[in-house]
Amino acid sequence: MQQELKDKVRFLVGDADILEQMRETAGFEPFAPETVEFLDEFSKLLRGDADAGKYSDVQTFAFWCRKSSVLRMKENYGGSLKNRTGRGLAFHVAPSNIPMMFLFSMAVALLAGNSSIVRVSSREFEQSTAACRLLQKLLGDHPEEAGKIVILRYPHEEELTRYFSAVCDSRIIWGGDRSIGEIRKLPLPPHGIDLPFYDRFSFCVINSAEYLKYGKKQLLAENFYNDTYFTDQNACTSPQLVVWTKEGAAEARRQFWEELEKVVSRKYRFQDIQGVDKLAAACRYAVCHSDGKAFCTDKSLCRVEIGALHKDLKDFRCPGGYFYEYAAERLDEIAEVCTKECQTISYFGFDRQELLDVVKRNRCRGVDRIVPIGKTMDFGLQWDGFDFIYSLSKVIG
Amino acid sequence: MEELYRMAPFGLGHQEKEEKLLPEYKKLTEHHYRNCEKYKNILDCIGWDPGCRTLEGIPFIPVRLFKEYELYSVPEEAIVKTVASSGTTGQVSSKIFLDKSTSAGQQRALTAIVGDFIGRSRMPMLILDCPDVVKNRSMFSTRGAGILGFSTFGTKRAYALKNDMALDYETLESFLENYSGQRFLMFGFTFIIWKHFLLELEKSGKHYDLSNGVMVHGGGWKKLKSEAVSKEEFRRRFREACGLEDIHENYGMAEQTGSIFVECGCGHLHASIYSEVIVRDPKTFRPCRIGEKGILQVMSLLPHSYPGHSLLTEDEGAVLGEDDCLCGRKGKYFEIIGRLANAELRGCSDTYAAGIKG
Repeated sequence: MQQELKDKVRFLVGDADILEQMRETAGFEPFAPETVEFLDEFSKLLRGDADAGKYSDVQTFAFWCRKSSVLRMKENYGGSLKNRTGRGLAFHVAPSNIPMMFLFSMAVALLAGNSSIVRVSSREFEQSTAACRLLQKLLGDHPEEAGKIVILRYPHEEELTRYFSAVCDSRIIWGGDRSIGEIRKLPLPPHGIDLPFYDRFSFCVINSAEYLKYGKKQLLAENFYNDTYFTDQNACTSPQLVVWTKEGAAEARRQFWEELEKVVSRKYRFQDIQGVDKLAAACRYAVCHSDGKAFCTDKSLCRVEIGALHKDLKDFRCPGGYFYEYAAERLDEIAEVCTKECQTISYFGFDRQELLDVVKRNRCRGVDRIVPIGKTMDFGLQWDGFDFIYSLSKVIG
Repeated sequence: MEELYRMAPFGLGHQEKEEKLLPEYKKLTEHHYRNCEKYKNILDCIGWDPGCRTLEGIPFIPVRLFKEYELYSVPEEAIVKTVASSGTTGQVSSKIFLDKSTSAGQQRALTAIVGDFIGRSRMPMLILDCPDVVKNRSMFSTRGAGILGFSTFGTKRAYALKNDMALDYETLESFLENYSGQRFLMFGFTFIIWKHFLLELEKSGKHYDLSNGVMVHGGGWKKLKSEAVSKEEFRRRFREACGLEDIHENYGMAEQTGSIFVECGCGHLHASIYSEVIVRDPKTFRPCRIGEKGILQVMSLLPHSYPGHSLLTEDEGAVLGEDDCLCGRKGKYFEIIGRLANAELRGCSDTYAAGIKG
């Protein structure tokens, strides 16, 4: 790499020498014992650190990557990883909306047997900074692992992205459709693969009759809050739409939003511009579809009742507590919004199988996850339709 | 409306204004509802009460919609002019569609309002901008439209800046030589005036006597704020550099050209009979009390060809009083505090202990 490019890079973990050596790196065995041990130590460090440990998303990551959790994930693969080895070097372009995503991304690449160059966004989060500091410290005691991880930050500089793209074996891009498009213009080596994680749309389905019977409405509201407001509805997994089954919908809705409002008023920090943003989103929807009715007395929780499910609903999304809702006569109606962009269906009061059947029966192009309300943020080795371990390793046939 | 143009622009007190103008705003709302389908869809979605009893009940839409959609309420063939708001570099600009009567109304209201502050007789005018901004059609924007609109107040017009935005000392000196003995008008955009006129004057080290001038400026403090220049500082520096005291800020937008809000000698922006300002609580959109800060909603009776008569801005301000400003003008007077910050993109950075998954 040219010196002037190098000068633009700021290393959070690792350094220029490691980066240089990585070009010739080879993959290793998935779930290698030393990788599992290393992640377990990282987990302990994170949990025990005062700066990092106070963040719930750090805790979530730390619990996810501890030994017992990783070994459980490994079990799911049975003997299928016997002839597999990591592809080599993964180049990650981490998202800016979810602070800890860069670590999940790095960890899955490691578990699949790859070294990683991780580019983090220019937005600094306190918990990311703390986690990088701990990781760097830990790598000091693990020279073997130190050669596998570089985390860096650089300003918008296509030449750098071009360089990393040209030397990697896989490129993992988290980002908006536009930035993915920009990055994909830069060539990978002939054998290189892309795993693009693009802008997605998610929704929630609630069985109204079951909800009315349910005794833990407050808990459900908390869980829904964590799925949505906790990431300011910026995560791809956050529902933008709530679909109710028709019977009992009116009363279920009333109670549900009332419960949610209580959580929101207790926990959410409203920003003054958000009311304008939400009103604009509702107007935008109205310009294109004449079936909406907005309910938005307190701007920290706005909803628009819609008379039909439209494929382009995701174009009218707005972060920070803005929901479309629809009462469905038949569950199969949701197929309309199970487009290629649809990622997660979260649910209450159904069997997972019921929803899976709807998706299959209607031959929907999208839907990558179906999880209960409260679980949308649970990261897993299967994501957006990819299996990280299989995708980031190669099989010797 | 004809009746309105014959009235004093700041002559209506609260009660009278409400009684006279509420029916007008309702009529206008209904006109747009019937003639602009997109506006109709919007009102059907966000709701409004046609039986409302105060101006506060008139529905409002975010001003940014004009950046995204072409909104008009007259047949296309009636549109005589389309104005694009300048927008900061890189931003999308609004498109405003004017028919003959709207365009004429804007000029009449502007004349009445500005006349109330600077007098009705025309005077020599020094435009604090470059000639290209009006001549060059591709640049024709709020800046050009604003200058053209104000040009009717001037007789002998001169441009104080060259096309490369350098101060044109020759023009300035000959203008002052000819007219500094009488009252003269200066007009321009706040940031341009600051950067290309005042700072240059100060640097030049020469003293020009502008004490007979009256200056009207506007276009936002956003850029000046980033240079940490306050309103007071702006005034003080002009006073010290060239003896200019008679300065009036104006607050307006391309979406409501004509019915601008102008600052009186007490430093207050005034709503005229052609306009109204309502400050709303950001979280509930309920009208704020006097002195309470919130989001500005601006109303104007002029927009007939496009549904821009009641708009929610992204500016923060506070109503300071009504009907009792020491300058004697009736109606509400207010201040602008600044622009609402864009929503910061927040990740899951809360520190509460979430349910930890094993």
